[in-house]
Amino acid sequence: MSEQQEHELDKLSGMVIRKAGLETPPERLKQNIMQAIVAKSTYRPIQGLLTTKSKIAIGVFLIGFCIAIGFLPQTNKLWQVSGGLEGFTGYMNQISKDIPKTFLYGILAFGILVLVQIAYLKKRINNI
Amino acid sequence: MTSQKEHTYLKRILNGDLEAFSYFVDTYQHLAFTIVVRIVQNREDAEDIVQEAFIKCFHKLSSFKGDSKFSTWLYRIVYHSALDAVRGQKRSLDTQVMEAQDFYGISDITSVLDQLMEQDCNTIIKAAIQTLSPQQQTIITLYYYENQSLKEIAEIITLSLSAVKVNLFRARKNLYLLLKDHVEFENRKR
Repeated sequence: MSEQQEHELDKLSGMVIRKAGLETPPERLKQNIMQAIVAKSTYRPIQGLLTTKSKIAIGVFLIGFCIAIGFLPQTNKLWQVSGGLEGFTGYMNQISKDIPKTFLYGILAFGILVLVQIAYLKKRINNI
Repeated sequence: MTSQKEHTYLKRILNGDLEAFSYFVDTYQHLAFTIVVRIVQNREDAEDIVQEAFIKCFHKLSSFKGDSKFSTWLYRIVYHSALDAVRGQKRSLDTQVMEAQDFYGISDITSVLDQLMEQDCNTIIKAAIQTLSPQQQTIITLYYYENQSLKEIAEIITLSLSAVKVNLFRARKNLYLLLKDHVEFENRKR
């Protein structure tokens, strides 16, 4: 194929493609695209109630508690620290005869966590 | 490289101005639709594919680095979406290989096409384009209509530069042969 023929072929192809023109998309196409984009972008995925920061804080507290528990008194003396709590500690002493103190510390820590979380989660739910 | 204007619109979109995306839809929907219609040969299917491709493009905008033209990036998504759809329909992606012994009468074809009524001419040309493979249709459309460089076309089609050159030549040759048949048919009618 000569250079001249190649040039003519190039010219013919260009002319043909320009004559064919572009297809006209339906008018609703743009509208549909924009609607789909807006709809998908306004969709808000469900947020976790606990933020990463608070999860870390709870984790640190739990690890700290597990470490600290080794240093906490394991005798009945703990319940005699406060005189006002004597009645309560008397009761605790009674039930702690069979239950180890560590177990009670665990219940206490769990209770604190629940109390803190209820207030915290309530605030978060209100803000959503 | 992406133009300054497009960069501005991209920034706006990434900052949450969704309406700014309509600029890209307005600018590229016609050629995107043309590429897809020619590949899938059905306007309804093409509409769905183009819509999905634009949405995909929107969601991937943050990954667009701007080191190529925005149009190159977009047409790549559009082209491959159309190709996936055709593969799904198990339609052949190949075109028959046509052999030309010589290339005579190229100027005759041009003059016959000029003499034909616009509508007839369009029908003949579109029929000829439809017989090309999806790859060749896209290459020839991007090359002559969008003035994309061969390197950019290679990026869109995901082919090597030399393969694009070969396919462009084959597309031209096939178009010539198909149009020659039509022109000879027209001449016999006269």
